[in-house]
Amino acid sequence: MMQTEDLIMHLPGRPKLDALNWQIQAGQSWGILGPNGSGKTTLLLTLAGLKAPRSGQILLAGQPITGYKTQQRAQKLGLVFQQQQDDFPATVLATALMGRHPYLRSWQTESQADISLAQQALAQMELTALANRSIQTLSGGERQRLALAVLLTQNPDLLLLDEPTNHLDLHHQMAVLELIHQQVSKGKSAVMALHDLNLAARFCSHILLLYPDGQACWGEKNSMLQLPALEKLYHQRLITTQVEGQQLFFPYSPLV
Amino acid sequence: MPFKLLPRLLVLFCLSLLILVLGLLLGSVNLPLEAIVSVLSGQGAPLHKMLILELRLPRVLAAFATGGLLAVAGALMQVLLRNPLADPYILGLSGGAAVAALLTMLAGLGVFWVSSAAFTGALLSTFLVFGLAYGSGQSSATRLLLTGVVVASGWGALISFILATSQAQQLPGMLYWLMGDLSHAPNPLIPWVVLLVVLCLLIPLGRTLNVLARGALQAAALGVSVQKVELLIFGLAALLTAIAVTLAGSIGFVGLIVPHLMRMLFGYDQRILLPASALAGGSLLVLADTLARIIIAPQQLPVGVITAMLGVPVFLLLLYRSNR
Repeated sequence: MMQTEDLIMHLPGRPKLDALNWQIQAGQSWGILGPNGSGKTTLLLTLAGLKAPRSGQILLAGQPITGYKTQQRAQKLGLVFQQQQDDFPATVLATALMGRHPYLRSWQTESQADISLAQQALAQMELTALANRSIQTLSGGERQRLALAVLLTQNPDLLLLDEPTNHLDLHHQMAVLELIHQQVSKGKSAVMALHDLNLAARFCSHILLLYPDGQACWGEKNSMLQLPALEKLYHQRLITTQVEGQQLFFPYSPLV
Repeated sequence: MPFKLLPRLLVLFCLSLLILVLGLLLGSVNLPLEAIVSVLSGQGAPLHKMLILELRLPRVLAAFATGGLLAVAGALMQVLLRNPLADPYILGLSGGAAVAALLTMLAGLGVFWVSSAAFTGALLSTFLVFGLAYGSGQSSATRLLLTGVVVASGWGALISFILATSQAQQLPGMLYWLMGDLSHAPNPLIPWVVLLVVLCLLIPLGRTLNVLARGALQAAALGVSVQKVELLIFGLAALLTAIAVTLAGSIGFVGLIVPHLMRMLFGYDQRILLPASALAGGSLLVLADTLARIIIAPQQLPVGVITAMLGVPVFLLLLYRSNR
């Protein structure tokens, strides 16, 4: 699906960064873990072709990503940003419909099929009741779900998500990650920046660790989610336990 | 999606026609409706012919074009800068035009030179702002906005300087130009052609503009070639504004308020918003100019004063009602 060749992202003021020779296959869901400022968002933007790397290149379906036209690229990969911009009061449905933009010629208007795709996506994100509301009236979590609905309408093969559980309550965190999991099991791939180790352990098949010193390592979930590595990553003591077969991690903070 | 609003747009179109006819009939001498019918069918009194065909028709058409150009340019600037407070002049266009126009007035040159200077000044200011904002390679809506606002205040200082140092008998002409005045408007044919061509170009681009309003990165992720589109709408907005300024000086308010009014009535989709803004902006200016001609007839007020007086209460009323 996607491959990076000697990729070094462009992070100003960070001279020492590991080169990434990384492969993302269909059916894999990658979690990117790292402390604040380690470059998770920059990595996602670079993978999406929205930010030029310092060196190296990215192959999307075998071809350099720089060779794609923006519209073709948007059919193959989609990105949910950490924050959404909404300076103008479009409706929720009209916003979800924007996911069809990569598939329409400039003179075409959205067909009934496009509209029902958008409505389906809204239903999956439990936003149907808000379809005619202005996006400016939505709560943080509703905005986040709308951004995911746009991604579902866009229906790309590679889903890039920058903290997809941002602003979401527990129920919607599970709903969103289960939905991503479901998409991946249909043969798509997902790469998501996460802060919650337990969600990463539950929903990702592979993990990439971005250390603050510029080091990076990646691999299967079980080999990556090891206590010493994670403690070094976050510069924080952790404790771990197993509940009903699931590995859980907690930051250690002594009771005084 | 946008089609269900077409009947509403049609109503606006008919209303615009009605206002155009009203602009032909009213003035220091009011004419009956039959006068238009007979003049257009080639008959009618010579006085009516002169009044309608030579005086009022060009003036009314110039007013409509100016309003339409400003409203569309305003709507484009608001998308370009992702800022609902943007208007066509926000990037210093009118300031550049004003300085050039006032300088030609100071030199005592005629109407033709004032218009040409205004157009040149507007374009010059556009290139200046654009060069400064995009020249370093890195650009953002905020950077563009800041550059424009700073350049505009530079022009403002120059305008004050020119006004302060010019002679008393030149001041009224300069002030009328600054407030926006249609009495010296040149032939409106080119502005009409430009307005129609640009609208035909923009309506297919409307969906892209909708996506662009969600932010440059989000738009790029959805397949918009952001830089190309931004360059295009910046160029078009500048062209529209420069032509409007050439026609009638700097008329404030229309470019800011009309797109907002239309968003309240038509929603947010640019494919409807842009043609609606053109119609409403044109109508508003014809209405304002007609009032400017009759309130203290036979003297004329600068039309910019009336646009604000008409627009402010209407806008506040709509804003108040939409919040309930």
